[in-house]
Amino acid sequence: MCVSFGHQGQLVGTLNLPDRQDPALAPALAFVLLNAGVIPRMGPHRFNVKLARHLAGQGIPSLRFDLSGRGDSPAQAGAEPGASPTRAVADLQAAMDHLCATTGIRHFVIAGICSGAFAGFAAARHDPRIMGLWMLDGHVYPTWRGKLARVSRQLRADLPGTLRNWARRPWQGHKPQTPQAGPAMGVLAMQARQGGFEPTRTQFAQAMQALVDRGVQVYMMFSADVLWRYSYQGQFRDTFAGHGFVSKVVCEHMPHIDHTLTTLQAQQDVMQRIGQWANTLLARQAEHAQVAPILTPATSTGKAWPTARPLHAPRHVAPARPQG
Amino acid sequence: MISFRFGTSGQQLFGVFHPAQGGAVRMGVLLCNPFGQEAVRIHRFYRVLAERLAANGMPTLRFDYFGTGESDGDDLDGHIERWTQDVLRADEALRKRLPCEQVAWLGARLGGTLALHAAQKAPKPPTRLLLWEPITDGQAYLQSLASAHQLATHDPFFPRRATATAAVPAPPHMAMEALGFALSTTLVQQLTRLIPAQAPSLAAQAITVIAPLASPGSPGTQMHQPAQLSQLPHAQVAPLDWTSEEAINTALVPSQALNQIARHLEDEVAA
Repeated sequence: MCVSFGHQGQLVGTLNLPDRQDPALAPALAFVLLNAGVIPRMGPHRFNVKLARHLAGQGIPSLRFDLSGRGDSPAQAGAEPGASPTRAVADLQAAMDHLCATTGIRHFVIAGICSGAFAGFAAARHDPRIMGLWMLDGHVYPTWRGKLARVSRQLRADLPGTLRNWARRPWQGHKPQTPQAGPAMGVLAMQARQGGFEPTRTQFAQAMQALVDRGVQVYMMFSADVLWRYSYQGQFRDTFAGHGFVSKVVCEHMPHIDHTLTTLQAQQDVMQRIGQWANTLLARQAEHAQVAPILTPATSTGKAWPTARPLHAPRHVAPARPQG
Repeated sequence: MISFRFGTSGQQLFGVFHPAQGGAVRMGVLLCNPFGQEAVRIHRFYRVLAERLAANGMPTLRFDYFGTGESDGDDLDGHIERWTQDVLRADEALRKRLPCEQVAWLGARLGGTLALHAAQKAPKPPTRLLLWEPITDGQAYLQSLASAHQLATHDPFFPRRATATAAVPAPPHMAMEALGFALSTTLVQQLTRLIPAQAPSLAAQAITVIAPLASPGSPGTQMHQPAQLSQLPHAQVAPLDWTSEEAINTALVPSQALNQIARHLEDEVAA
């Protein structure tokens, strides 16, 4: 379903609603899927579309949309060019407002890759409606052990080339000359362009602790393409050893996948992991609902969702009483 | 800009219509996507082009084929014959929104191939057809996709990645995967039958082939063009890295290509 929302209806998105299995209750949560860099809302290799349908198969609605200036959403008038953390957070909140208004759902999981992960993390810090975060190649903080792991891989992959590179630039470190280094370095370049999204290690730790204390469920993945900064399983634990949130955040090093999930196997693997994690979130929400109901019961009509209306022109969506 | 879905339930296509901004409308424009990752790559370019054309009085429709982008369907649902019909449906959807009869089609890469096929079957063929590096040699194109996929997925630091892919059984009816998209056996068979010696008859009044500047010819395109296309007027633009992820190390919307293509259409209207 095509949707538009936000200021003057400028933000363009696609709402995926599952076939209603139980018309009595709306789902406990919905996913919001973000742009990865400049890739439109369909996601890299259409991953967001595939993930949305996978989640719908589990009864979980989702909204994927284009942030201002990305995909089909125009840039805000007078906005600075390039990524804006403040703008992204505002857009995300508009997305959640829209979902709440049209479905009655009040709890959201933000799923993002790279800049999408940054935006989700920033929004979660400001919006208590966000109860889950999935981040692929989000904020990452190298460790000495990680650097050793990376150097070891470089030497094993290309000993002569690596040594030659070190001899030429001993003060810059260890960049191999293999052509396959291109994608990894490109990811780092993209992340560097985000500028303004990157909290310091201390700021990140404080923010993450606050999220965990609030009950936000965090699931982080790091691909092979951020090898230069995330190099081994356990790096997150080592980086933030001593912080209470470490044991409560799921963090996986996944060297068999790349930054944009280029293989179908990587897409399938990640979708299944997210789906399983989403089920645990639903279970948690169900437990909480027994204590404090959060769901909006259906009306006697039994209709679960608002009628899909064709989108003819951008317009402001007024808050509506949930149907069904 | 108006997003909408058209077609029958469960098989709907997604489209974005850019209405003309003021002035008399003399021609509408339909933008036909390339395949797979190339469609992701060209998305921003098409949007900027559509906005420019609409600002110059040419309503423009860009859309996703079945099984691609924001349209219904999965990777394995798409193939040439189906997508050719999608071009015709999109043309119909565009014409419903036009006060004129003149329509131009721009097809990039496989989109150019589909536009050629669709033009033969169209009740009202386009009056202008721009073919941007159309695919005319399917075998060469498949090989280029396979090479690009191998380059994108091989990593000397993590050789397990390539083997991990091979260890997972492929879904039924899948012949290959390329840069994040599955190709059905039907699609591969149809591409295999695309050979330069055969080309559909040219059913548009004016056709221009847009080729890359100073390039020996990327596989499946210029070097292997059928004679009919080789003899057509050509325009040249700087080569585009069709499969680049997020246009790393290159312009997302190359201005030279944008200006060249837009001028071809704007000159048509001005004539």
